[in-house]
Amino acid sequence: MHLSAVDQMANNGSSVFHRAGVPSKLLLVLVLLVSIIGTGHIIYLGVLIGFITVLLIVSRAQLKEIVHLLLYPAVFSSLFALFKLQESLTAGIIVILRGTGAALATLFLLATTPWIEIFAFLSAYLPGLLVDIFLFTYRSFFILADRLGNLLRSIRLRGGYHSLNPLMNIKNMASVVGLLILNSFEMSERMYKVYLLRGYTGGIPVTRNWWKLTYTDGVIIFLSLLIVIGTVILWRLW
Amino acid sequence: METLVEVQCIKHIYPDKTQVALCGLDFVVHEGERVVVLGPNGAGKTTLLSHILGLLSPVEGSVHVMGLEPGKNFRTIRRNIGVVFQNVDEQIIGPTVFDDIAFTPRNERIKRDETERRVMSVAKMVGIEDILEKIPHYLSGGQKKKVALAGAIVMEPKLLVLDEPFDGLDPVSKREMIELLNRLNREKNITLIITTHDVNLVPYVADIVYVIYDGKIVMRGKPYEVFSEKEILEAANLEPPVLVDLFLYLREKGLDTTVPTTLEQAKKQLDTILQQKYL
Amino acid sequence: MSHIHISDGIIPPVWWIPGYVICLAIVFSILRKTDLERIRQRVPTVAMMAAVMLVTMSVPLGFLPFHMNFAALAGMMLGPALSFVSVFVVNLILALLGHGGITAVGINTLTIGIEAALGGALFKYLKSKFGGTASAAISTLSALLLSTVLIILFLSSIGVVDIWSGEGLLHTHEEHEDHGSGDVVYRLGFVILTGWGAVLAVILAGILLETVISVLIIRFFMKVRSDIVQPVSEENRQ
Repeated sequence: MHLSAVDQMANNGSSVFHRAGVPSKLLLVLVLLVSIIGTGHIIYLGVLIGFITVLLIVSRAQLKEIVHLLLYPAVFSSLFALFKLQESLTAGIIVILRGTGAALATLFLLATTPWIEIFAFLSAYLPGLLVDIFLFTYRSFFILADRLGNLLRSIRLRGGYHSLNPLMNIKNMASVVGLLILNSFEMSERMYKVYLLRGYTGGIPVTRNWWKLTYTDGVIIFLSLLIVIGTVILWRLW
Repeated sequence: METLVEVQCIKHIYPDKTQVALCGLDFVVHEGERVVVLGPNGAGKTTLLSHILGLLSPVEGSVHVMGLEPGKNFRTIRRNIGVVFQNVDEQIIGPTVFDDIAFTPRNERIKRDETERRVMSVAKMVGIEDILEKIPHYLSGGQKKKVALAGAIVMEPKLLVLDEPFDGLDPVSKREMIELLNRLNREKNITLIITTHDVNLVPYVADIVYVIYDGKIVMRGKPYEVFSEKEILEAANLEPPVLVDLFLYLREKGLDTTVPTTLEQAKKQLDTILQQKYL
Repeated sequence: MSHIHISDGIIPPVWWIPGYVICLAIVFSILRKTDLERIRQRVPTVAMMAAVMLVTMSVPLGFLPFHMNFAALAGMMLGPALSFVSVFVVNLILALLGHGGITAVGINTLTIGIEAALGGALFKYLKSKFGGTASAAISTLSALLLSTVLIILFLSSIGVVDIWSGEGLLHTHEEHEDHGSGDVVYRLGFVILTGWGAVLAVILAGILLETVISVLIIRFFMKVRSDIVQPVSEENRQ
């Protein structure tokens, strides 16, 4: 499961970017996204993507996993790029670079920042219940992913899955999904009761320690400024 | 001694229309007691706990916890009860271990310094002060149990309810858990209600034992009294602890011995027998 | 219909910005309703359903090129409003992982959220008239068809698809030929695509598949936990 792999990267990394605060990283990623989506300059796009790749290398992210995740935006942006190829080769390449570049930026954030910290930051600005839903979804995902893994393993061991027999697969996967949903509903009911027992009244209090800026945060903010300046210059020139 | 919990012949109907009843002897727990509820799978142990916690309300019978009906006074009751469920994954809420232990104090609007003091104190007591920044779903089963326990005792409850707390633990972790629970009972006077089907651990953590079978509370007594009733235990699909079984057998064969329930008692007894034999 | 894998940079700002604004406005208004207690009760269930949707995307069906999204099913389980929130959570998480652009989240949430909401609303209305199974079939099918239509209209509006001629994104003026059957065949290099016929066939196959699986799941629940799909009153819920 990609979410698990990315989560592991974020939680187990110890690079300078892992230690940086959430606000500075969010600022950098936001600036990158705006620049990537907003620019029509192929070389600048290439530079930005190269820059993010360097960030990922410095943060010692599992590049194999990142490349795997990039296949989705690469493939789908290629489909749209084929349309743009009618205009020019450059236009088509820009589409692909934008798609993969934006995905790379968000993956950098997720690979260096645990979801918990992102939620903790957002909890100051979003409705408490929405943050709760994100947090619970995050917790529940891992529990369900384990369960699904066990269910699929059982099905395979018992001959219930065959890559060339879609009818059998559909029937069995429907059972798997049905069981999974049933278990998850019952689990969510139990969880709610337990949360009540523990005093849940809406809004999970989360520790927020991001407000102290460090030297690394300063560097990241400086890099963000450079990107903004570069993008603005290019907009003006273009 | 104040009566903390009293349950009399309850009946409940689940959403899938399954009816469960728990009758027979009354279930009574006094303050400061360590009570173990023994029974095979499906006997009604979790149903009993759910009623005590106010998660279920009986359609017949009565449940009183600290003088109140838990189903109707849920918010009052829960402030004085800590709970550790069998599947701790379902009760760990906090994003980090610290956040999880601090969950209840924060929700009770306890000041930050005091919350931190309480969290550090229980974390140290339970032995998890070095993993406070960790993400719960990456912890081992034993560590998660400790986190759940810390979260359950952080508000210093009068009553601690544990559903199969030894499930899935290795022998060393089981011993640690037993020592911890006994310390909580001894030092903080926390009353314990523990369900388990691991009979060998019961003598180490129980003042009183209840045996449930097929929706009935069939026996109540001190560990030794309960485990001496081998026929009733067998009828309830249970076996006495290995030590008890062994010494009951020896007594049947004519050996003049009491029946120990713990290993230390058994060693002492064997020393006495051997001394008598060779002197 | 699964969410749209539109990479960043394809959707014009005039679409994605209002898409975000409307989507967030709906989510915020749902979570700020006066019956907060009822919503708070459902938080674990909403999150669990979001996690289910995330996890079931990886359920394999052999060689079939689909994955389920179960938005309509979420609508039947959670009701129209909360399923919309669940869909938003899923789309945002997927976008951050590179599944679909970050700029597409608003549009995706609106289309799939409408699918979930319609599925839920129709099911609630029809189940007392036609029973669980038939209602589930009608609701899922209608919801999926509606979201498909919305997606096609949207893709047409941003110039990816020409809705009238059926000319899709791989069309070039130099490379199409007519076949006797009346279907227009498009050729780009070695890739041959048919027009609406082929596209719709694939889409309908996916819709039918998801409908069948959703109905099987609802039937399963009617047997073992009918209260999940036919909620009792709040007093008796706990």
